[in-house]
Amino acid sequence: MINKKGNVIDLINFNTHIPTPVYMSSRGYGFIWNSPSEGEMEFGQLRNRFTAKATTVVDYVVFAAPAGDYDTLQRRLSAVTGRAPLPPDFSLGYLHSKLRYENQTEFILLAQHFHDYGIPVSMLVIDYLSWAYQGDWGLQDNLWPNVSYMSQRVKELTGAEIMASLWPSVEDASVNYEVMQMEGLLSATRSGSGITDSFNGSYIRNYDSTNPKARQFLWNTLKRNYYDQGIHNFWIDQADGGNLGEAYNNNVSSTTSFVRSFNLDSDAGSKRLHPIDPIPLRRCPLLRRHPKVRRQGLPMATSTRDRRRITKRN
Amino acid sequence: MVFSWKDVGLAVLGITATVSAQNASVSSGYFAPNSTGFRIQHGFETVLVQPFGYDGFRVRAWPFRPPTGDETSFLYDPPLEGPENGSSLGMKFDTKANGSSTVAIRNGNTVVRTYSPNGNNQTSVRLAFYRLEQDGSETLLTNEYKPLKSLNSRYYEWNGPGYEFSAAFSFATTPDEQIYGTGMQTQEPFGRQLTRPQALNKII
Repeated sequence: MINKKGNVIDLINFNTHIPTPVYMSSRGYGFIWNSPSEGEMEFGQLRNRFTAKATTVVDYVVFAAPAGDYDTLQRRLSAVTGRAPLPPDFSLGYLHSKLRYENQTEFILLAQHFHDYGIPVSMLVIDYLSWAYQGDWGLQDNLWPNVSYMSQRVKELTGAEIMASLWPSVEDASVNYEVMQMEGLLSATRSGSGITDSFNGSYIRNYDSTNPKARQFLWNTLKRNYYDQGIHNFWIDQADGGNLGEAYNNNVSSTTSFVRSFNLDSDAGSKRLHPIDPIPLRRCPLLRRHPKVRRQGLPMATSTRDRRRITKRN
Repeated sequence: MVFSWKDVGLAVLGITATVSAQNASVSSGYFAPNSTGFRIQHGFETVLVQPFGYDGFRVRAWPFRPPTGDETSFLYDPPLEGPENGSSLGMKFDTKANGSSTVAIRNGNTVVRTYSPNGNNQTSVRLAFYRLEQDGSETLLTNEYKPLKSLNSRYYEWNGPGYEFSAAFSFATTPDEQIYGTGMQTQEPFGRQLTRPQALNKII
């Protein structure tokens, strides 16, 4: 489904669902909808429509090239949206990561093995949750006690660069939470609390990347804890740079309330249905694979009476 | 997006200088923009159309109050390459329009032209984009959607307690147009809707 004709695409960020309001047409033009607002992209038979739910200006760009010349369209596009620099050589070699290295000793041992077995490696990655709390933007002290030594040792053994995971989220237990809250460096939510998620029982907020002071704060912290210690690369991780957005799908923790609220919003008869209704389950791939849920899955067209009967059987 | 409303006034005063400077600064062979842009006043709505990058146009539109200039944007202005030669047009324009006549500007091989959805000379307020071909003909790329029995192609609505509005902008297409891009979407595999009832029948 490379051709998006006929699709209606919600302009809202989910993990691995990153709509970008930019397209190229087979007619030889490109289009950019320059808006961060939620909305929709609609590609109908006779009408393409872009919507912004809330904005103070509408801003779009149209550019052209000979029909079929997508290379030129890409060049026109990147001239106004930015161009990725050529990745450094070390990033094009063998990159090694796992979920995940527990501590500094294990990481140095890893480099030692690459050295001892003569396996070339160009970058080793320290993945997520290597910090004590989200928003620390530093490796957990007691597990990674001497980062500069570690970086130096890895370099000596393998010549490899090190990359660390970077999440935009800040939890209330983080050393940085209080100052970021006080300085207004955390993003808000529509309801005001700013909390976008809960993770291991701790409230999560995101740093406000639209605030230059917040960006500076983040970089200062990264520089102090990683860059100056020999770790010069970051992969910008978590849910593709934002909050999960689809907690019900990926975190599962709230499935029951989601199912119930869905049923209550349906017609009166549905209140009598079994709480595990197949419709929301279709949106929940983790549950869909659960054997018990499979047994209870029913098509939407099934009558209420049949559902009762089958639910009873189960 | 950085612009100043002072630029608007300066643009009106310096039309000739601006256009000639642009023409002079672009390498030969490229048709430099023959205008810094036009602004349509369409009742409560304002539409600013400017050449942008090579072969492109940028359109900004707003109802009632102008944008603050602090809007979040992911565009480079000026573009990394283009006839601007590293100098943003800001909110400049050299032509005012109110729908009573057709306005067109060209940038490279792309043309934007106003037209009337009603076929009269009071409502030439819709935009159409064309590519200029080697033989001098024009190929329509897209135009703001024009059927009378539809919402305005530039549609605004106020849903909240503040000034922020929602907007829906529509463009004409044809069933055979192919659309590439739009980022990354997680989509259902082919045929999922057919296989689901089959699997279910086995269970029942």
